[in-house]
Amino acid sequence: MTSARKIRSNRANARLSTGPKTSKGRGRSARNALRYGLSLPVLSDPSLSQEVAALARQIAGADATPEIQEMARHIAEAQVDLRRVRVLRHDLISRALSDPDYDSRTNWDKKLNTALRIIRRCSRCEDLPEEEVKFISSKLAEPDRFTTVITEIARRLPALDRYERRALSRRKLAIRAFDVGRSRSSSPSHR
Amino acid sequence: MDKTDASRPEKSRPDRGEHPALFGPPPLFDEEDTKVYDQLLTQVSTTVMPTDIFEDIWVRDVVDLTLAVFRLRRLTANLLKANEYKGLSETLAPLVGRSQAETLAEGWAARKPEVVEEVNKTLTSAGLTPDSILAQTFSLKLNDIERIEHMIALAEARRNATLHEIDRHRQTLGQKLRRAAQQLEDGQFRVIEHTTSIDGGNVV
Repeated sequence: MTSARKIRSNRANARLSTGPKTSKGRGRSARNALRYGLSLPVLSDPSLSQEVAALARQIAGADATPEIQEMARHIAEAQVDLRRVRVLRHDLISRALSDPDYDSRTNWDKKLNTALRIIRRCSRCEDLPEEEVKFISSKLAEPDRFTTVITEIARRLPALDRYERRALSRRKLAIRAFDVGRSRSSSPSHR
Repeated sequence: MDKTDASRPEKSRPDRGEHPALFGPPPLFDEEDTKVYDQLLTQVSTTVMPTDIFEDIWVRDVVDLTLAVFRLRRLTANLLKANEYKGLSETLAPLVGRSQAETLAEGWAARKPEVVEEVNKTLTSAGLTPDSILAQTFSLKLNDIERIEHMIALAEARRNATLHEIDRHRQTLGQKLRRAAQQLEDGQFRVIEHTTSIDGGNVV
């Protein structure tokens, strides 16, 4: 059991951590949701909302009750959302794969440090170690490159995974509700 | 029966062109073959025989996730194969020195017969086997392999969850079909009275 004193101190500490304080930090966090546009509801995009409406009509079918139509719309929204996340992830990976200079963030950091070291040596007119110069211009070869691209994107963009998980869960629950709703509307007591 | 796309028994194969909002382009990368994807889709569709729009969605999900698992497994194998010479270099370094180990590893990767023979001799004399190279390569690439394994586990868990949803949906669909059949039978059923013919025989 948590003591009253502990609860008070937890609450006091929580009040101290209420997000960014500076205007720069607040500005940055305000743009978080716009980074991929995935947090925006599909219905806020006219072309996507048309797709949702068309798909919902296909799911509900002709002569569907308003309740069934509404359930079908929930499924369509989740499905379009899911497709949006998957297409975005695929585009990011494809773009990285088509970039011949793609490298892992760790390697970029190492290359930067090596470059700084070389510049310092140059300024002191010292000999340049061949290995280090080679490392700066090195490029990833397959299959290390493909591995780096997909694992880096998965690691650096956990938000995509989170969005996909949520959309999948929404779709699952919406289809279950639709199945129940349709069973109920086709049962003899509803006829 | 409902006249909905959600109950469409005559359809057995998801058509990507039919539901653009459902199916984006196949999730393939540059050098991957569309034919392999289509073949997998046909195989899964033929086995599952999707009966409605939801099953079309799930079949496509299962195919995409299966393909992702195949891709990641292939990647792990290729990663180990491509880095075998680094593993060999690390294995040989304590035996012949770093510089000589690197030279031998390069020759071994190029499959130069005399170098392969020398490497085999060096390994045997130290009581090592080709498994030692694999173990060393594995340890060099452990971080990458661990991440790939995590992605495989995630894809497999999602695929299993999708298959579970198909099962659940089919149970609901089965119950619905039974009820519809019952209603049809009830509608067909009429009481046939027992009548007697003119000549006294029973007529039904």
